[in-house]
Amino acid sequence: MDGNTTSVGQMLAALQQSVFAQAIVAVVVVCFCTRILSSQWFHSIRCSKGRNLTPPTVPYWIPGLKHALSLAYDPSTFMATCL
Amino acid sequence: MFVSNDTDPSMAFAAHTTSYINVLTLDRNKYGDGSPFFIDGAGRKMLFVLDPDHIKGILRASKEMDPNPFIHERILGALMGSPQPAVDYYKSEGHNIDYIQTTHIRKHTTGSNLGLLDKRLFDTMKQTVGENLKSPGEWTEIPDLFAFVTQHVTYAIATTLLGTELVSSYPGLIADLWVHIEYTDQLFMGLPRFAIPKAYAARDRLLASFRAWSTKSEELRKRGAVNTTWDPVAGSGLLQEREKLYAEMPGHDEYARSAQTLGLLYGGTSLAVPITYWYLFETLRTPDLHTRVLAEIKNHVDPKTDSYSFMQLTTRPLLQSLHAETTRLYTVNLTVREVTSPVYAFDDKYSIPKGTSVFISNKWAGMYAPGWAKSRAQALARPLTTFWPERYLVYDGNGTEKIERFSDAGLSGNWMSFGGGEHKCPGRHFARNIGIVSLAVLMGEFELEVVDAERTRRLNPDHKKKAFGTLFPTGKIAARIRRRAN
Repeated sequence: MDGNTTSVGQMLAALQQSVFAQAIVAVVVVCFCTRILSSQWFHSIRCSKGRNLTPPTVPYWIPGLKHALSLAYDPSTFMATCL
Repeated sequence: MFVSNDTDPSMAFAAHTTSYINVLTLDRNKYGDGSPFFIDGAGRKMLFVLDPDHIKGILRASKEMDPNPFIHERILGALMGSPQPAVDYYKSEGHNIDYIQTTHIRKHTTGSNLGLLDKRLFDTMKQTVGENLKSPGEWTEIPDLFAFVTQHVTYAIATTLLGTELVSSYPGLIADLWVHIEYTDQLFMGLPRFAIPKAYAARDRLLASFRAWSTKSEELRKRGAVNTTWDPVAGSGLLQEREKLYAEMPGHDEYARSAQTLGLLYGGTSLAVPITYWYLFETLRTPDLHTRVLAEIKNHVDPKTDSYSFMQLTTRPLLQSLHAETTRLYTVNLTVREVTSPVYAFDDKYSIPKGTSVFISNKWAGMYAPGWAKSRAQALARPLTTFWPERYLVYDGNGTEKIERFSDAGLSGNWMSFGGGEHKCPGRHFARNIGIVSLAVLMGEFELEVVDAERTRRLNPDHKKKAFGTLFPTGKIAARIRRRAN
């Protein structure tokens, strides 16, 4: 238990000193939050009983780019995974 | 707030956690429950539709949903490499060129004109297949049946449409055409030349040869030195009339005309050739189906023409159903529309604004079981991910007096490999007959056998892996062929 606490403390200390590590963590956090939020929006529209709604957008990880990388890499396979 | 009060808290927590794990992982096919959804590539949004009721509505709404903006910009411009003045002419007001060229293709690919195309196709294929065989009665090995069918069927289509001179003077035509077809998605998405140099190089060679052909063909036409039905240099009547039509159209120099020729050849081969392969292959590897199809072919020999009654063959219920099932399962293409009215409403719940691009994956619509359950539940007797040649047959009468017939009534939202509504593919009858003619040549004139039919089951493609593109077997399928004894 003490060993785990020490290693977490060391990681946090390393994070405070490295801008690169902070940037990586920030990107990962932003991507995860984007995914969770876009999933929430997607399912809330699907489950809504409203009228004249714009259909939802498939959840994505990267704000702004959304599905651009998947579409550029292999559009046919990516679309098939969504269908 | 997401947990109802009458739920066991531990189970609710587990379910909630699982749903978030699903959200965070890329598990397959989780959005296609029938509701429309958007895919968004950095602001370029594409709406995907799967529900057959929505699809039928789209196909009927020809005034609110137009395929032409996508065709002009992405297909004619980006994919076929047409110069901008020609694309701009299509996009301009005050003409009905889309209607004119559609009716023109329809005129040349139906009725007696279709019979002429069938005959040319049959004679060409019979000749080229026979040229490479060993002595009569001896089997010739085919190491890769897909490549064999692709080569012979593409050659026969190209010769039928464009004449023999262009095809024989450009040995790389078939290879270049299939490179171009395989890069369809990257080209129509507008990837630059440095990203896909092989695709642009193949297209450049195709367009250059079509330009030279167009110029030569025009000279002959002006001198009246062509056979207007079919000419070895100027090609089919369809191509000759198209060249004349485009030559008089604003923005259509030889560069634009060559892009139009590429478009026609692409349209005549990209779906029809793979369909023909799968049509033939499924027949060859299923003994009962093979016997029944061969009997149909033999029953329609036309001794007067030393050929077959293709018009009658195309009305046979089994062959119609076989063709429909092949296109349903093995055609992996997209139907695209753009909303041209201020708003388009799918139903009470969903509506989309003007300018939205709507995509229908024909294969996925064909495999969407809830849609079939609504339209024709008995067609679900075998899974939609399997090939069942009788899927489109219905039976009239009762007891032993049952009469089978082909029916696609009510299935316009489930089976739409050639599009639908007012904009249904005008060359679909020719595409269907390419398959029938190929069967007549490769089964009626020759004996063709798959070497190890059981092994080929392991080479079946994954039917859920692609939203569009050509479906290949996952390995080479060996076969053998010999001339059929009379």
